[in-house]
Amino acid sequence: MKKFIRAQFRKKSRVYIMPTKMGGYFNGLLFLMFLLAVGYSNNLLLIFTLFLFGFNLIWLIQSHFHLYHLKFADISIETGHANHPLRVKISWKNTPEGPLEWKFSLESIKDDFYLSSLGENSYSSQAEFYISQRGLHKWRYLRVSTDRPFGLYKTWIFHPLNLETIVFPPLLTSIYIDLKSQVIGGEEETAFKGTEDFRSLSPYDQIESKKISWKHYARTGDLYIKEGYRPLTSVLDLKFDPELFTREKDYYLSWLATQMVESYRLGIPFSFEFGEKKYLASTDVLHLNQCLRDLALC
Amino acid sequence: MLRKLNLSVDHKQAIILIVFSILLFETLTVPTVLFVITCGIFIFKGLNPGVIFRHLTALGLFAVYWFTYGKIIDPEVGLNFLTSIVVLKLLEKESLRDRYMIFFGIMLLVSAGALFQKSLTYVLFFTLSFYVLVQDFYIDLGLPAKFKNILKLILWILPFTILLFVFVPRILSPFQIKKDSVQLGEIGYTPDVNISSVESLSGNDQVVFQANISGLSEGKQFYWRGNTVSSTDGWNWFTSSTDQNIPSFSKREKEIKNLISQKIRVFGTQDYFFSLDFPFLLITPSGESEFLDGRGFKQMTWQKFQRYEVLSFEEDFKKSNTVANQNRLLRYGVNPRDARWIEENFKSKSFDPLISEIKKYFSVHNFSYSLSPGKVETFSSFMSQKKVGFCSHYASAVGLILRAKGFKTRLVSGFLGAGYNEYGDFYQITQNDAHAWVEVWDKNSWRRIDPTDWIAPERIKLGGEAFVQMNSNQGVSSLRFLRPYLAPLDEVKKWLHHIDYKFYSLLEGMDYEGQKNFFEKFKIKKDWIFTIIPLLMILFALLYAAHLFRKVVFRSPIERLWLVFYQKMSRKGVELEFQSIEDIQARIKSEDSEIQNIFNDLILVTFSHKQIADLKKRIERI
Repeated sequence: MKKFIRAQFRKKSRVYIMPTKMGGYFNGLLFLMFLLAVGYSNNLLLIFTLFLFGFNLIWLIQSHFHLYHLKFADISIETGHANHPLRVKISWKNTPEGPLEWKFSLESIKDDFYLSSLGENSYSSQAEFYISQRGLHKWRYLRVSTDRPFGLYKTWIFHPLNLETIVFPPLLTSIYIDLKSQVIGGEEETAFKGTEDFRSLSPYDQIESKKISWKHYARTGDLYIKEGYRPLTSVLDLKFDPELFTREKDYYLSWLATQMVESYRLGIPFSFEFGEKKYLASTDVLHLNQCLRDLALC
Repeated sequence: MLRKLNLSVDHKQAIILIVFSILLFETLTVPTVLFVITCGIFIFKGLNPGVIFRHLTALGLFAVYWFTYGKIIDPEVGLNFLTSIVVLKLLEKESLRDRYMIFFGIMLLVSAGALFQKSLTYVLFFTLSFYVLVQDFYIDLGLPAKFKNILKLILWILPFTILLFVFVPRILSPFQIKKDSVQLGEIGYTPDVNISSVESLSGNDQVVFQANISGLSEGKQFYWRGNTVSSTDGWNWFTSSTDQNIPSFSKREKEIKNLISQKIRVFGTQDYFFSLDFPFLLITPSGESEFLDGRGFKQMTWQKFQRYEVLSFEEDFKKSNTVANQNRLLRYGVNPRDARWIEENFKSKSFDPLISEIKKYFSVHNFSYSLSPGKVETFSSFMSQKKVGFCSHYASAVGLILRAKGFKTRLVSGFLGAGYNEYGDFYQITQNDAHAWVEVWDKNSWRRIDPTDWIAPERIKLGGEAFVQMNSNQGVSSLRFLRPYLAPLDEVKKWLHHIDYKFYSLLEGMDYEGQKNFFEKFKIKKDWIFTIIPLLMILFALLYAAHLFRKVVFRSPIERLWLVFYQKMSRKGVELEFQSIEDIQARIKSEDSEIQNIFNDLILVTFSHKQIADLKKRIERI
């Protein structure tokens, strides 16, 4: 029933408008002044009140137009982990004059999520929000509201969306990465030696980009490669255990997801066996996303 | 000029509040006015008192209002409260919400002030402060706030305001703001003549009413009748039920000529209708009613007229003597001891010799006129000891003597005098003109006896306002040597009064009856308003809906600059719209260097987000 009512009332071009708390007081006092003016036969007060009422009406109309003429160009929601900020970017055109200060919320079939604004300009806004539930979220509406420009009326619109976001399992704060089955690589001493800070470095030769020492680049602005550095060749083998999943469902998924993310962050290739699916070891972001997606949807 | 002063929004708002409190000095309590001025100083000095101080002050003011008024739900108390809250909020302005609240608060306050302050000066104050407030508010919001923008906004609102003003139905209401304009110790009109508690009187130049008079013979004195009082306790005089006419309005059947017509406009609400002696007919928008025996005509509870007309005779027209026939006017209320004293001191039996005897008594015993006679509690103390007083004392004394001597006597409370305004051809009567005199039933008509004329003839000759101004040593009046230099100012004041008079004649005409008459002119029944208003609302909704279907494109400031540039170039015969930058460059190659510079600057503004001053003006100059 609730869904039906929502669907009936939420039309794309419809702007909803309500007085804010201040607007309520303002209108209340205007009404009181109107009663006093008519009751006390005070025509001057009546004219002032009607004049203020005229302003009030103009402000009401302008507040309505503030959202009415706004057109949405695009909306994108970044995928991410549950309990971690998910960034939303909204672009639009035909932005009205005056302050914007939009407030956003996303509506899925199950729930509404309020977005915290990260900044806005005349053409786009950025915001973020948190979801505690992993899985696939289908967004039905983007609700945009504002009490600007005058603070007397709050307006809002529902922009229909056909958007899905996969939310990966939440990450654990500290985790031990089990590297038992890996071949451990390391550093080798070389003949090339510099001063204490620049030991085992040589200028970047445009070939071995994996060996670039970003730490030294940050300090000096020049590119060096680590002589004697051998990229780690260790591999993390992860396997989805249905038994553990049944026992400690969400924690287990989080544990697996964290292992994957940490491995990716450290550049350790990981492989993942998920039922019949087998993902070969890789440090690629697509590989990571694919594995996390499976975890999110299982 | 305001821009040169470089005032911040806070400063401007503080100034508006201070001017507001000064204009409404008589309505706001002294603590409120002082509070507003103190807070204004705080704002100008940039001081910000702590939260505890502010809260304690708010509580303190609450207590002051409670003890001053003894009630909370009252327009006057409400205005005091709102003023204090807004000024307090201005001190603790912290968030955006506070700024909104102050802006709307001051707007409401300035509008609500019209409940108590009705003058063109106030309208001017409202207009100016409203403009300043709205402009600052729009600047703060980043909305267009030039004079032409605000004017456009107002031009949208004014027709709507006028339309509603005409069509909003007025009602008859018993609730009228009754301000006690005459305080104890101030000169002013009171229906009763209560003198035993008054020690002295100070000037009060508050305007009571204005009158446009026609048919007046030259040299006639302005005795404005308010009420007759015929009950006395032996010194003070009170209104009894027989002193009042009972209104029965009806339409006049035939035109009556050779009467003095007075079109009166009352300030505030008054309990009685005022009229020049001797009133015959009261004409109100509701109908007409005859004055009987010159008795006071009380305003109705449900419909207090602020505008009415009175037709008067030069002399009492002997229309009726119902009151005079009552023996209660004879010796009634005179203290027996005073009656004996009167018999001993005034021997004449007939009227004229008795009047001469009283005059002589006052003259021989050096009676004098003073607005500060001290407390005179009885007739005997006035006649034997004090021998000094003002109009009420003399009127009461003579009234009692005449009653004791067997003449049917009553007192009349009203006004004597009127300041003429030649710009607007009307007379203005102030509280300083308040007066009391005696009426005696003699030869089948009421005869006016004014004993003040015997003691202080200049009071009668000059009128109350001029007499008080001349004799006052208080305030500005004490600087009498400046008066010749201030004469032009008086003329300006008169001129302003005349503008005020005309403005309010228009404004006040649209009351319950005025609206009815206005619609009757167009053959519209007043009840139809209730149909017209929903129709207007539907019309408004349709217009609004039509507006919604209009395609509105908001352009950014840079887009607008480019558009103006295209338009200007198009007028020069160079079409640039929908062209690439290279094409535009090629097309303007042959134009003068300024156009090429403008184009380059536009590119810089658009792609490098550089700020270039005067670019808009330069484009408009093309």
